[in-house]
Amino acid sequence: MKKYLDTRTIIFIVIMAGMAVAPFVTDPYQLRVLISCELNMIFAMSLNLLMGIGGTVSFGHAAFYSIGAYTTACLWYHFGWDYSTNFIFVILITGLAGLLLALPMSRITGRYVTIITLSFAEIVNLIIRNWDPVTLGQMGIVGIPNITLFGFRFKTKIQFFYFTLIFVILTYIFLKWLVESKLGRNLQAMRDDSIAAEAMGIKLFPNKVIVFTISAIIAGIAGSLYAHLMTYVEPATFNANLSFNCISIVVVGGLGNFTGTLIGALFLTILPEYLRRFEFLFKYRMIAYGMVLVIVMWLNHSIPGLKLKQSVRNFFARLLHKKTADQEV
Amino acid sequence: MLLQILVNGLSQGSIYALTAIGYSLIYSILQLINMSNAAVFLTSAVIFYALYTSLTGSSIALTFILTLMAAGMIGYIIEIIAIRPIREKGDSNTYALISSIGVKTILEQICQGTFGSEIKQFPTLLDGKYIDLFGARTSAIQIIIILTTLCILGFMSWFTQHNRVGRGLRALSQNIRACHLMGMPVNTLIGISFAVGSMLAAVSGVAYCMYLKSISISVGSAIGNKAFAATVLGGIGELKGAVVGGYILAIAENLVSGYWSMSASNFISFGILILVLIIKPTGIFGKKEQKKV
Repeated sequence: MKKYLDTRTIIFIVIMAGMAVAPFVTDPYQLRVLISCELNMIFAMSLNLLMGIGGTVSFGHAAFYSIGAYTTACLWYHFGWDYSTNFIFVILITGLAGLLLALPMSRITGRYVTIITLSFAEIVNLIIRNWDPVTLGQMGIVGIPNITLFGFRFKTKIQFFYFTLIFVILTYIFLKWLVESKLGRNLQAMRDDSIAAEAMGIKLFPNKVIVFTISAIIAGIAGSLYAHLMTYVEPATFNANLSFNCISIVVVGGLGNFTGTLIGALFLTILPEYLRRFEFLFKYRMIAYGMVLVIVMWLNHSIPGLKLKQSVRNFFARLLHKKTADQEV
Repeated sequence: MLLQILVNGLSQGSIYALTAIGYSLIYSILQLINMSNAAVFLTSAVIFYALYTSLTGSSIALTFILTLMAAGMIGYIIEIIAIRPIREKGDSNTYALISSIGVKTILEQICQGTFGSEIKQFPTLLDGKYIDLFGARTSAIQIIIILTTLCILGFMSWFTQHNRVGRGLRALSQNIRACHLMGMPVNTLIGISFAVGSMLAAVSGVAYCMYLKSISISVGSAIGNKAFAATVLGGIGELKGAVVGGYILAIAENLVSGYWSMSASNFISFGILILVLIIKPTGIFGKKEQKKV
């Protein structure tokens, strides 16, 4: 049992326990912010699987989020289906989209991955904007009801909150297990040195396809929950900035560190909402996402838990022009 | 009809090409996709608007020169703040790319905060003057844009071939380390490359808003993505590739929107991009790079 209770797991349990009691002390507005936190957690964890474990930075992850959101919204709008049915279609369609994006990866490496993920997101957004009969184009789909499961409709946002919390916990446990599994180890080998991994007999292409598909499905689930939370979807929401904000969350939490992602999501979702209070900062609150990226890249790429102390020390050492621990070695 | 489309495509392609050179120039030196370029495009248009309406007393030439200087400074500062610390630590370019995305977000949010989200009227040159060019109705600003771009392209080709600084930039793109050992001021030169890229983005930003006669907060991302697609199409890291890619993309878009539909023209640029990536990922002029073990 001891093996499973490392620092990160304990922090995870503490955060989840905190989240579980939070609805008893928050007002409806704060509860809404917390639900956004949960959605960002799921979304960012899916990207962290790709960035931290797979070593592939997706600059268009919002594409899967929007596909998930639009799948459940369109199915509700055109057929009136409830979430339990839509959920299966969300998994199928986002999985298919992830598969589609992963296919060119057999030919393309390095910087072209950046380019192709960016353009994939752009194309998905264009399709949503222009496919009027299905997605209603620029208007967006309005009036999406709260989640219904097998005929049981969630009445309050608190039920929605706990439902999403279950997804956060399941995603976390699944990803933890995935990292330790054969696939996860293969991916980490590929991330560190793809040529060496190939020489050891790891097939790069199937592993990449699988990780893209899994990541897409998780992001799609977050998107489908988003559609039911906001009760409307419109194309303008799912622009490139959504992908970049997600990268910010992952980078703050540390690549490959899922507990860090949870903290990053909490921090970066609550901070802009908190800054709303100050009148002069109100317009500039989203700058936080950009600042965080630059500062973290400055410090040490990421702040994964224990490395924090080291990077802060390095930062001050650099200010004082002293030699840092890194340089002496 | 065809001539009209070609003229429109050329003027739009000029705007793409200028921004695309900014991407390509920095990529050729640092192998870095500088995402902040699109934000500089927007920022300089906003600066132009702000200066024109408040400070410079409606003189377009003076405003333009001040905007260029401001854009050059912004580019240099971006390099110092966001790229240099990561570069000097010798870290992967992915981190510099993420940092440049951070800069893009910061610049865009500052613009949005100060400018607001409504569409405003933008000053333009020779408003309402049209020239009949073999049956193609060409506005004066379109001709000005095309001519300016040709001058700038000529200047850039002189700059990189015959100018001391430009030759330094070409040397950097071959081997930074060797340049450093030869005693070249590498950091200053890289800063200058960012400044030049930003100034080109500023020219195209102002030109685009003059062409539209209006400015809104969304111009940056729209053109930024297209220019990026143009860069990849021509072969990223090749200056002539960026220009050719920009013109091909713009003419293809105008052909599609002229003969088919407006909404399809948005698809065509990214459709071409995906096709290029699948068939020849290095682009039209790109060189094949070898994998090193």
